[in-house]
This record gives sequence, structure tokens and C-alpha cells, in this order.
Amino acid sequence: MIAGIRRTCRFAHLIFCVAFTRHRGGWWESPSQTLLSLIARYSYARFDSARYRRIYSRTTALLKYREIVHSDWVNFVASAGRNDLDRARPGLSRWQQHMRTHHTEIPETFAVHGNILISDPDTPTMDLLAETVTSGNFNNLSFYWESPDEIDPAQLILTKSEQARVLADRAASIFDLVETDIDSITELERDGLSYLGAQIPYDSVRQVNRYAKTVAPKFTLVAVSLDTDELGFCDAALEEWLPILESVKKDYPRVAFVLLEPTTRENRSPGTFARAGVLPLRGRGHGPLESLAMAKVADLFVGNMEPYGYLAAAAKLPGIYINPVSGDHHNPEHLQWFLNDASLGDPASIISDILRQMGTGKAPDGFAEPARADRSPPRPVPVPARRKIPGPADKWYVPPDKRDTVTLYVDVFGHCNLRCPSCPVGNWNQADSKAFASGLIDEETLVSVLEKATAETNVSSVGLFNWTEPLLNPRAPELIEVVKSFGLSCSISSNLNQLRDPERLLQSGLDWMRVSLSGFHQETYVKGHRGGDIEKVKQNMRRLADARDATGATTDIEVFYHKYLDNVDDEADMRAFAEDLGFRFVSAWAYLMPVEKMLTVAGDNEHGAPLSDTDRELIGRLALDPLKALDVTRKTETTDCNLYDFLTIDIRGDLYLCCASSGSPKNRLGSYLDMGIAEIREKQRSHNLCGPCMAQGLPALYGHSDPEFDEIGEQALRAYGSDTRMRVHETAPSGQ
Amino acid sequence: MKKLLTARNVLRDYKRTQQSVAPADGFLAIVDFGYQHYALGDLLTKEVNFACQAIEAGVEHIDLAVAIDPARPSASAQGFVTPENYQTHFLNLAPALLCTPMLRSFRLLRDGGMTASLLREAARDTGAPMWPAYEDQILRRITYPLGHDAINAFHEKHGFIPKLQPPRGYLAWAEAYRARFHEDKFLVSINPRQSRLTANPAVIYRDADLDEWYEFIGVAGKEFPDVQFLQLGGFDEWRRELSDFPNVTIPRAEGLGLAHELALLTISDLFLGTSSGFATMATFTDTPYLICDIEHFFAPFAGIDVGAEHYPFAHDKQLLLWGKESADLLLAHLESNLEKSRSSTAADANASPIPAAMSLR
Repeated sequence: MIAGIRRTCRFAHLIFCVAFTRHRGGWWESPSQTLLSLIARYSYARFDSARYRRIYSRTTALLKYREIVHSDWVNFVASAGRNDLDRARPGLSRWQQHMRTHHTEIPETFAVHGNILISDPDTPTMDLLAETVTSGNFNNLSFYWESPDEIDPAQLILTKSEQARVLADRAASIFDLVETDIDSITELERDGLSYLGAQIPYDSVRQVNRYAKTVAPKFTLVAVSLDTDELGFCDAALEEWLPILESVKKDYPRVAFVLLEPTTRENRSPGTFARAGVLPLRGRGHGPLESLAMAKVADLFVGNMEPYGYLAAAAKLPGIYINPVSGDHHNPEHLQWFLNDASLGDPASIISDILRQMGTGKAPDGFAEPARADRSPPRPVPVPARRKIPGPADKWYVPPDKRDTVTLYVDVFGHCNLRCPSCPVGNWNQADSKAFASGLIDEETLVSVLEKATAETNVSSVGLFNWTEPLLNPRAPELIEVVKSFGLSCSISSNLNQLRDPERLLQSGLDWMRVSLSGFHQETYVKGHRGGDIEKVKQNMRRLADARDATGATTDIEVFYHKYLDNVDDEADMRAFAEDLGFRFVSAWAYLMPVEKMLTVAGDNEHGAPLSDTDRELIGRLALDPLKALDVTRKTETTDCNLYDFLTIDIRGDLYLCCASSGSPKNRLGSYLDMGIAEIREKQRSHNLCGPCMAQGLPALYGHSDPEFDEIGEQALRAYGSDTRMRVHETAPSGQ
Repeated sequence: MKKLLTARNVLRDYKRTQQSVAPADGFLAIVDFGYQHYALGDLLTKEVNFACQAIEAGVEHIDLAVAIDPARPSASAQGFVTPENYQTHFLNLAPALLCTPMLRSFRLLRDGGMTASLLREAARDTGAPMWPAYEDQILRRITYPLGHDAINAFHEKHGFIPKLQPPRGYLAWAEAYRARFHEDKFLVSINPRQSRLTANPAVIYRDADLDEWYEFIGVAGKEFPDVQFLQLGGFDEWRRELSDFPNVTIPRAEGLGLAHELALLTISDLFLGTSSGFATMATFTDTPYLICDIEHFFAPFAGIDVGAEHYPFAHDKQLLLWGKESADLLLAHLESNLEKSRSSTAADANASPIPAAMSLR
């Protein structure tokens, strides 16, 4: 008997010691816990025996006691409803952060047992469940579909031991998940909530990884999170954002916008999605966990703070975070903008600016799908190296908030194949050989110009033309790619008498192209575009349209028709032809260029250039009578000229006064690469041509900004009969 | 949260462990994936069993406790479920748990100690009715496949069975979705099994013939323009050309998930599909259905003979097919249902008299 008592006491002592053994891992995984559980199971299997029933009873009591003593739990009660779900989801993580910060009596390893009251029975809870299951430290989770008024939160527990874990500070343990009155919310929105997606399942990460590699390889991924409607679709918000995303896509073809919310929009208009570069993640069989994963691995984030914005902020993604609780602010270090709806302004330009500063891939767009399935695939084009982003170390660097915004016009060829009478190439003194440099621009010069321009100014776009014909340069597509590699919009204007490889041209990423002409029939066309062949132009327009269809290029192609008194009939024919090819058609009143010639017409012979018979003949064809136009422009005093922001540079890298003045050496301001923007501005404003030009109000003429010009032009067309009017200034010298 | 290890505290805590506030007015249903399978059909069948037992026990609520121990997340037969991926498998099935009739609360327990406490208190202290039995849970004991014995017995005794509800919180969503996108349509949910297209093909001889199905859908599009099909099931389980049919909506291709699909199934006018998890959902709702290719070995578990047209608890629009389907057969069944739906306005005679407070909530 004594031996039996001793054995029992030793056994009990052993059990007692084992029960209170400290260990490193979770208490439920400890060897002592396992031992007790085994004993309980073993004894239960022998429940017929009274002795084993006693062992079982005491063992389970010890198990329960260990639970009380060793568990580091916090039991909280929260509520969520249908309209609050997007806020409730990060709300749980926000609460955790708050608890860690403000309740230091809780150990680091505390686990949370959450009780969530679903206040609205129609609350779809799966997304909330998915994210709380995969966030960190929510050990046990309970949902209750009873009104909070009917159940005392203290009773939302099934075991007494849980009751012990409600915090002494009851207010902290019972809260509204959408509560925003939590300290440090600004820090949370700056640093993000890492808990929200702390334990995203490996399979979700794998799927997103695979998605990014197969659907949009080598693209810059922008995760987009938009407002959803009561059914959980973001269709309405997407309607507003598609044009914005499409405009960014035009400038940055190698960007893909990955939509994190479900949408039905793609089924109805797949072409719209393709043009805007939108990829619906959820529509590819992925769920909310994959959206969480994408919000972490994307390159940029654009969209609502809740719920995915928190995760993206924690991953330090650049982008736009909409509707932060902490108000508008900017984190320049991470290229993050936190903006409320009212302050959003022009999101496309913000996104473009971020992409430009990130130096995203600027290669030709390989994403656009061909218009028809039987098209041949686009020719592969090498991806240029990523351009260096200008920084404070650059010689010409100006901080972004202090920069002027300019448009560059850079000639890539020294001359033109036509001699149009309205253009200085056709009407300038041909003896002035210095007016136009001969040759081609070399790529290094263009790169240097663009590097300097992007360092000291905000470049809104680059036109590879001024007075000359860019397509005469056989490397025009490569030069366009150079411009695109800087993340800049690129345009050209051409007479289209020459077109080498239209597919290669459009594949270069060209954003905008103008075809300039003045007739549909040769006898009309050749008057305004001397030396040109309209049939060749029309053939090249057809080739251009075919190339656009074959490559799926998104280049905006515009046919620009110069209107004279005697080519109105041809305008309708050319309009029909152009629109049939899918081009935009624009027409405008022709006028005499350059500025110096117009000054002569205005009577300023000192600053003007002599008029020739050809000039007079041209003036006779103009529907917009220059003298009547001058009467309009003189009415308004002009003290500044918007053409200062259009920097014209020739093939040598020399900067000229403006795009309305001739290439005469008198208008050369100097080498663009040797002058800072401040010096450029000083030289522009002090040039002796600007005063007389502004005195006549000519900037308004070149901007076509006054509606009276249309009245003048229409009246002239109505009055036009068999006689050709010619009006010249009587003091103008002849024979030029 | 540590306490001083005094004798007084020990005794006090010990006494407290013997008391409980566990409510006894609910049926405690425990789904422990440590030894129970991650299978949609099994889960849904169990839920109907829970409801039958709850009604027999005279309680109005079911408190569902789902136990997943991360260290031991699956039964031995499903070794592909590991501590690293159990969350994915669980969340793939979680909406089905919300279909439990009379559901009052849903608890996810990842803590083994908590599960043990819960069991002990329910079994020993409160006397709350529960499933499985305490010893079965302790010994991790369950037999597969789960049959309809208890369900059939309940039906025989009471004349009805408790029906599965749309996942809690998704009925209103499904009705709003239908009103917005398919308001005047005859909605047909379909689920042709296609395991061969998934990442883990299994028992592929049971796969449906998708050529027959797509021919059926194409003809239905011409002959029955008012019919809209909803393709339910995994994103892998349909061929690309299905998305070209204007009379087919694929919820997974719109970013929707299982919860949305189960809800849409319950409000559909007809379900057509292979014997599967979705077919199980249809089985235990009032939705008319044609379930195809039922395996003969399942007949005794279902308590019916091979070739039987209906389950004992089914109504006359709920049909069973013990062989492969064809396009002609599906068309005939669709046409028959269209005629019946146009002529019939009577309520279903087998609607279960669940307490009004809990019906479809």
C-alpha cells in the first residue's frame, strides 16, 4: 500500500512538474502538453475503469489549467456591417497595431481571439474572413449573426476561460471595426499595415507571380483599386478611370493596370480594356487573397486606401492613395501621394510623373492586340536601355517644383522635299544658305538635348519637326524610340510624300502624327504643297492605315487640311478619304509664314522680310485675309507670348527664337546645350523680333485663338467668285 | 497574463474551470479538418445532418465550430493539405460552411486547447447537443462516404428535411445580381465536371463530355433565348470557347467566388450538372435539378435503388440520371422545365418548416 501511495505521489509530482515546465514554442505544442493529451486519450480509451476515469478527469483539468496560465490571449469584440466591410477589413489590423502600441502589458506573442458581431444579416463576410484568417495573429475567430442589442458582448464566449482574457480596459476590447479615432493613424497610413496580408497563402503568391510573368512580362504593373457598388463590382468607378488609364497608357505603353476588384465591364467592351492596358485580376479566376498579394508585389499602386492601399503602403509602393483618413500629404521619398477625392486633380499626370521618375520601360508597345486574328505578328523591336533619371548632380538640374513646362520641337532632318509657298522652306530667300542646316541630327545630340531638357524643365511633349520633313531621315523610328525611352510623348508632322516603313514607324511608339496637305486632286494640292504628289500621298495614307491595323498601334493619326479660297471642294473629298481610313480629319485656315513675312504685310519693313511674287500669289489664295486678320489681332495688346514655351532646336542642337520665326541666323539664340533655361528666357525676351511681333498681336494669329478668324474666312469663301483677289501692301518691294 | 502560482489561485482557477457559460440552447456542430475531409459534397451533407439533429434535439440554433490545427491540418488521406497551404484549402470551402441551416455563429478554432475546452464543456458541463459525439471527436473517428441515412430517417419521420440556405449574407447579393443582370431570364446553373482540366485530375472517367454540353448550350441559345446559363465551379473547369456564348455567364470570370455561386444556385430556376459538390448543394435545396452520372455504388449510401428517379426527400422537379448525359437529353429536360415553370405557380410542397426567424438567414 505504501509503495502504491509512493508511486501515485511520484506520478502526480511528475505530472505537476511537467505541467509547469517552461518552453520556447507555443504552449500548446510543448512536450508537457502533448504528454498530458496522450494521457487523456489513453485514459479515455479505458473509460470503463473507474481508475482511468479519475485519471482522465484530473488530466483534462490540468490541461484546462495550463490553458489559463500559459495562454497569452486577448479576447476582443467588434462589429461589422454590409456598408462597412471595406473599412472593417483593415480595421482589424489597425486595432492590432493600436493594441501593440498602447497596451504594452500584452506580450509581443499575444494571440487574438476575435468575436465579430455581424450587424447586418446581408453582410457578405467571405472577404473579411479570408483576410482575417490570413492576417497575423488572429488565432481564433468567431462570427455572430445576432443583433448587438440582444447579446451582451461578455456572453459571446463559450468557455469561461475566454472570459478571463477580456482586457481590464473593456473599452479597448470592444470596438467598432470602422472606428477611425485611433492614435497614430497617420503613421499607419504612411507605413502601411503589414498585418493585413502577413500570412497570404503561398498558393496565392504563386498564382500572382505566375500571372505577372505570363500575362504582362516585363511590364510595369500598376495595381488599381477602385470603389465598388453594392454587388462588389467596380464597373461605375472604372468608367471614370478608363480614360485616365488610357491616356497614361499612350505615353507609357509598357504599363499594365491590374484591377484588384471584380468587374463585368470587360465582357461588354474588351477592346476598351486592351487600349487602356487594363488586366482584371479577379476576372482571371483569382480571389481576394490574390488581390492582396498583387497589392504587395506590384510596382505602383493607384486607388483607395481601404483595403488594399494599406498593404501597398506597407510595401512602400509609389502611387496615389485615395481618401486617407489623415488628409492630403505627399511622401516624396517613396513617390507616394495621399489625396482625398476633392484634391485628386489630374491623376493621369501624377501617374505619368511617377512613372517618369521611376524610369519605367519605354519600349514599343507589344501588348496591344492586333485588330484581326489573321494579322501577322509585329516585328520584334529591341528594348532600349532605361534612361538615367536626372538628379541633383546633373549640371542643369532644377528641382521639379521649380521647373517650367515646355514643348520641344527638334528638327531631325535639315530640309524638306517640298517648297510650300506658305512655309519659309519654300518662301525664304534661297540665297540665305544659313537659314537651314543640311544633314541629319545624330542620336547623341538628341539624347543630350533630351537629358538636359528633362533635367531642367517639365517636358510635356517632343515634336520631331519644325519647318522640315522628319520622314526624310531614315532613322526616324529609332529617334522616336529615343524620345520614348525618356518617357515623353512624341509627335511628327509630315507631308507624307515619302514613307519608308510605316509598320516600323508606328511600332516605334509614336504618339501623334499629322499628315499635312491642301488638296485632294493634284492641280489643287500642288498649289499649296509645291513639288508634292497627292497620289503618292494618298497611297502612303493607305499604307499607313494598313500598318496601323497590322501592328495594332495606337498612334493618333490626324489629317490636317490647309484651307484656301480655291480648295474647298477638295476638302470634302479628302475628309471622306481620310475618315474612311480611320484617321481624324482637321482643317484650318492657311496663313503666311514666317513672322517676318507677316510683319511686312503689316507694314513693318524694318523687322519684316521682303515679299516675293510667290508670296503675293499665296496671299491672294488665303481665305483668311492677312490684313483683316491683323485688324483682329491688333485689337488685343499682347505683352507675353506663349510660343516662348515651344523650344525649337535644329539638327545641330541650336536653339531658335520660336517656331513661328524663320531659321535666319538672326533668330539663333545659341547652342541649347550650353545655355540654362534662365539664360534662354532672357534671350527670348530681349530679342528684337518679339516686340514688333507682339505689337501686331501675331501670336493670336498663329494660335487660331480668335473666333473672328472663322467669320473672316467664311465670308471670304462666300464672296469668292471667278476673280482671284490680290492685295499687297503698296510699299512692299517686289522681285524677292 | 501570468498569474502567481499560489495555492489560492490554483484552487480558484480550478473551480472556475468547472463552470461554464456555454449556452445550451444551440446545437454544437464541430467540423475538425484534422480528420474530416476537405470536400464540398461531404460538408454540405453534414450540414443537413446537423440541422436534422438540431431539430430532433429541440433547439433552434446551430453553433458551428471549425477546428483546424495548423500543425495537423488534414486527414491522412489528404496529405496534400499541409501547414503551408491549409488556409487556401479551407478558404476554398469556407462559403459552404455558411450554408448551414439555422446558423447562429461560426467559429474558427486554430488552437487545439480551445477546441478541447469547447468539447469538454459542451459534453460534460452544459449538455449541449453536439456532433460528432464526444468520443468520436476525441478518437477522430468518422466513416466515409457520408450517407443519407439520418436524413432519410428524418424525412420519413417528419415529412420534410431542413434545406441548405445560401451562404449567410449572400442571398440579398444574389437577388440583386439577378435583378441587375438577368432580370427576365430563366436562370440555369450548370456544373459539368471536368477534373482533367484541373491541377489535380482524379477519376476523370466521371468527367462530363463538354462537346455535348456546349452543343446543348449553343442550341439552347437559339431555341430558348430567354435562358441564361451560369457556369459554376473552378476557373479551370471550362474551355475557352464557353466565354464566347452570349447566353453564358461565368461568375468566376467576373471575379466572383464560391459564396456567390452557391447563392446563385439557390435562386436559379434549374440546376444541371454532374454528381459533385454543387449537385449536393442543389440536392438539399428547393431548386429543380437534373443530376447526371450518379455512381451506382453510392445508391445504398443514399438509401435508394440504382435507377431511382428521385431522392426520397426530393420533389418531382428534382431528377436523377444514372448515366451520361447528352445534348438532346439536356435540351429535353430544359424544355420540360421551361414549360413547367411557365404553368406552375404553386409553392413547393416540401418546403421545410424551419423556424421563421432562422429561415434563409
